[in-house]
Amino acid sequence: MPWETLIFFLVGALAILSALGMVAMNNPVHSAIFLVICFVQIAGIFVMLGAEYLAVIQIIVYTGAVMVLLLFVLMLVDMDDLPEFHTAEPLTRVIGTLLGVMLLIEVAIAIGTRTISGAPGTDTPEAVALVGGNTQAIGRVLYTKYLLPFEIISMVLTVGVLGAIVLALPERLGLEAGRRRDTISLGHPRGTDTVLPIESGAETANLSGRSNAQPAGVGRTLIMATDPDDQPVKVGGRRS
Amino acid sequence: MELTANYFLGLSAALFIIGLMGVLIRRNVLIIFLCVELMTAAVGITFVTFSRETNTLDGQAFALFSIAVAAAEAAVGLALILAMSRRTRSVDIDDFRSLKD
Amino acid sequence: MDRYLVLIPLLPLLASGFNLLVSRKYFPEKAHIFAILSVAGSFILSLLVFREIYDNEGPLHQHLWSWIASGRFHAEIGLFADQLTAVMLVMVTFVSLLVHIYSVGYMHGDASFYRFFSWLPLFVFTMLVLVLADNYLLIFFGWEGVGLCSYLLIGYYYKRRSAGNAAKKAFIVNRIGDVGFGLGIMLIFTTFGTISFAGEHGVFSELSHGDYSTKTLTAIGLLLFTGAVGKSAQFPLHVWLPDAMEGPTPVSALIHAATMVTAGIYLVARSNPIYMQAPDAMMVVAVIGAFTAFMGATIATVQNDIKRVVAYSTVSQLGYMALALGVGAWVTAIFHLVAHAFFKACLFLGSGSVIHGMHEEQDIQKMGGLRKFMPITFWTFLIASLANAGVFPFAGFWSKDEIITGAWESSIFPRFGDLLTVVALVTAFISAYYMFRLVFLTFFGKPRFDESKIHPHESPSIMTLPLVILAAVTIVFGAVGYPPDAGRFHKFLEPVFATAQHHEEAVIAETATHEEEAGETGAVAEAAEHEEGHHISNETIITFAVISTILALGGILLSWLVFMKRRIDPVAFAVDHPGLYNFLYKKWYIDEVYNAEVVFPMRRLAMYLWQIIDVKVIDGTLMGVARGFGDLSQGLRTLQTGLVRNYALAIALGMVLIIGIYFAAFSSLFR
Repeated sequence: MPWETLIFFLVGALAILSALGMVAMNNPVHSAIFLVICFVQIAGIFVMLGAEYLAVIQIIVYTGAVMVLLLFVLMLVDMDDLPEFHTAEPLTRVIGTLLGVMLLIEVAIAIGTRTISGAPGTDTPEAVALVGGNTQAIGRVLYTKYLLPFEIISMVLTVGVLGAIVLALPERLGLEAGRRRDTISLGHPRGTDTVLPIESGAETANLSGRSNAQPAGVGRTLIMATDPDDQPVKVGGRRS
Repeated sequence: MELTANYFLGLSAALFIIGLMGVLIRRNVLIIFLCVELMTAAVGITFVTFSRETNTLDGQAFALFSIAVAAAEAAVGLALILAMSRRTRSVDIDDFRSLKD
Repeated sequence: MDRYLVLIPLLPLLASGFNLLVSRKYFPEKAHIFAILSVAGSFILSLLVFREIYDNEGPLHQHLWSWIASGRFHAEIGLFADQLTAVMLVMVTFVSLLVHIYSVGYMHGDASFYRFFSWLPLFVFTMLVLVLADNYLLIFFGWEGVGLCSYLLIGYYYKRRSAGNAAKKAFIVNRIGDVGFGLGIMLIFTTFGTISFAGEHGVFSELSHGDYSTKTLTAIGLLLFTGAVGKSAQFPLHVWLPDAMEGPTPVSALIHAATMVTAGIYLVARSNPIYMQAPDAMMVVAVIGAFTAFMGATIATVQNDIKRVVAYSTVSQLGYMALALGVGAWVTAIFHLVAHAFFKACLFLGSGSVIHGMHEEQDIQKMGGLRKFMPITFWTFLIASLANAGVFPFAGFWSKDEIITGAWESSIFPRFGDLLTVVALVTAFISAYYMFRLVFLTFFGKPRFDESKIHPHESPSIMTLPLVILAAVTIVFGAVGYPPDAGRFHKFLEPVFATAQHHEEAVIAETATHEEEAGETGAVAEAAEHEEGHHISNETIITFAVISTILALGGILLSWLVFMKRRIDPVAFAVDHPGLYNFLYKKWYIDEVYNAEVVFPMRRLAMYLWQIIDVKVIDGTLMGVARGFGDLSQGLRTLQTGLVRNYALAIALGMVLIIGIYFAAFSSLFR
């Protein structure tokens, strides 16, 4: 058996096993760790396919940034009482498994009977090597053929950043004092800008420059949405 | 055995399906998010496989874009999950029921 | 003069509209002025038209505009006036004018004075359109229009339930006839390709130039006559006419004596070329006419409402006209139509005067001896009754006599005509009897009412003047019909029925040939006699004149004996023969039969349709559909659980299914 195949089976088995592990774990931190292992295997797969640049990007961005972010969020979501795996209804589990199996069969059929149409491209591994490697080749393609998607992706990322900032704001900008609403604010411990006594020293991020001081004792409710008459909409939740 | 593209496709499909089943079965919203990420990665493998098979770089570029989008999505999505979980004080996806008729 | 034809119907229409819109608000008591002026204008124009046609001996035609042009079907708004139209015009406008004048007095003080004088000129308009129309569809418009106005006027006292019912009955029964008429028009179109009858491409020219199957023409004739049966109150659609007496008396005088009911007769007369080629249709017309005449007369003998007697008399006389048409005595029928218009209008108006004078009492059993109180009414009534009974020398005598003679001498039905003649003679006897029963019971004898409570008075002159005029015309009108079948009236109208003459001669020739072949000498002699040109021998004329006079006087004598001299007590007679009396009093039980056979099943059908089909089926279906959709949405609503996982499951399921379908249907794998 050639080396490549062996390594492929090794890496692949590891990837699948770690994926299964991720899905099966109760503790989300365990799941995250398993997913990291899986991503590393996937990076290996990428290398085997000759996409070295992508493999590195996968590890840096995906594993390094996204998973770390996720782990931070896991820490922030300070849950004592996690939903257990076995409390999912049996019916759902059965249907899910069934669907998975069916999809597997279908994809297997698809893979088995697939045909390729169209002319093969020109970027053979030799041509890529000629240009100077995978990174240079991708760079060329990215800035010529895929320039527009590239720009759009940068916009997407910008929007993502903006969204994150907006969600993280302690207060909404531009509200006059009289119409203070509670917003979803990630800068505060409970996600709302509830009143904290001044002497505890808890100062909040105050982008608008206005003082956050509220008269003590005023409790406000979290308003997720208002109807057109500016009345808060009661939203169903398990614990309000 | 010769290492043809089909093997890679099969691996990718397996990972995708595992992720899908995770989405359908798990109730912890963060784990569901993880499974979605897994699905995205699996699709990336498929793209790269095809790219290799047809001797183009289009698939790799697309996989790159999908990684970028996943990053942006992670930022915003996780913020949302955090907010919702603070509101409903749980991470059970069955508690996020505001859209019920 | 051609161009002014349109004014004749237009003036009353304008008056009607004006009264309806303007007078109603601003001067409701003066509405009659416009109506009378407009009808007077139409009358004068009709006289001018008559004069012109008389001088030129040719018809007038005014084409107004094209009404319908759809493929091959063309209907125009056009006015056509030949001699027949001219006669009808003068008669209609004349009687209308007198009725309008009379109504001013009769309807005085009525709350909706203006309404009466809105509908009455409207009626005149539609009747004039009917008479002036140059194609069958326009006649139909006028036909329906007079039906509508009849409904409006019969139901004039709309607050009375019986009036509303009578109006509905009139309209609906008319409608039944109109179905036949409408079908007839359609059949005319499909047969001849046109529905106009004037000009070179009219129905009648086509008829004379072409060869059409007798069956088709018979069908057309019968269908057209169906309309006439409804409109002219022939059996079996006569039931609306007596009930129509719910309307004010001038309405009865105008519509149900002189004009609307004559529309059917006019229609058949106008279509005479068709009928002349369809002898079977003519026979039907004659038989129905004779039967109606007989039936109407018998019922009139026992009615106690003064207007009902006159109404049934109208039915009977219309039967006479139909009989005349049916036996081919066309001009005679029109002659009787005009004469009848005059004396029947006089009778109705006279009844109105009596009712008015007796303070709305209509039962003749409560009258008596009124000739002392209302002399003018009495004398005019008497004259009109004599005319109705067919006594020499009044108009009714000449016309009725001609009908009888025509039936006898009919070249269409040489033998069948005898039976019809007998029926006509018997009916003449009965007519005299009931007419004078009415006269005697109303005007003679001792008053059967409390003279201290009711003080009958003569009507105001605005009401008696038309009576006098009509009576006078009745007296002298006979002159235009003298000598019988050859008088000025007949000569005037001959061109209209010229084609009829030709065909008649053809039929005579045919009959003669057949009879010769059959070898019957009597018929040959008769045919030879007719070959001289449809002039009946003087002997026959005089014989029948004498016979009918005897019968008329005999009828008068009989009623005198019964009601004045009490030789035969009518009350005892009724008690002894309850079956016969009730049969006649209940109008031959026709209304009861209709009620049971037609009205009751229709109502049950309507109830069924309403409760079962409309409520359960249609409403149920609609509501069911709505409810079904509602239930469907409720069912679909359960899909929206709000649970993200369910949605994800649905997506995954969908994906699997679509891929599966793709493989099954499109992939080359399983083909």
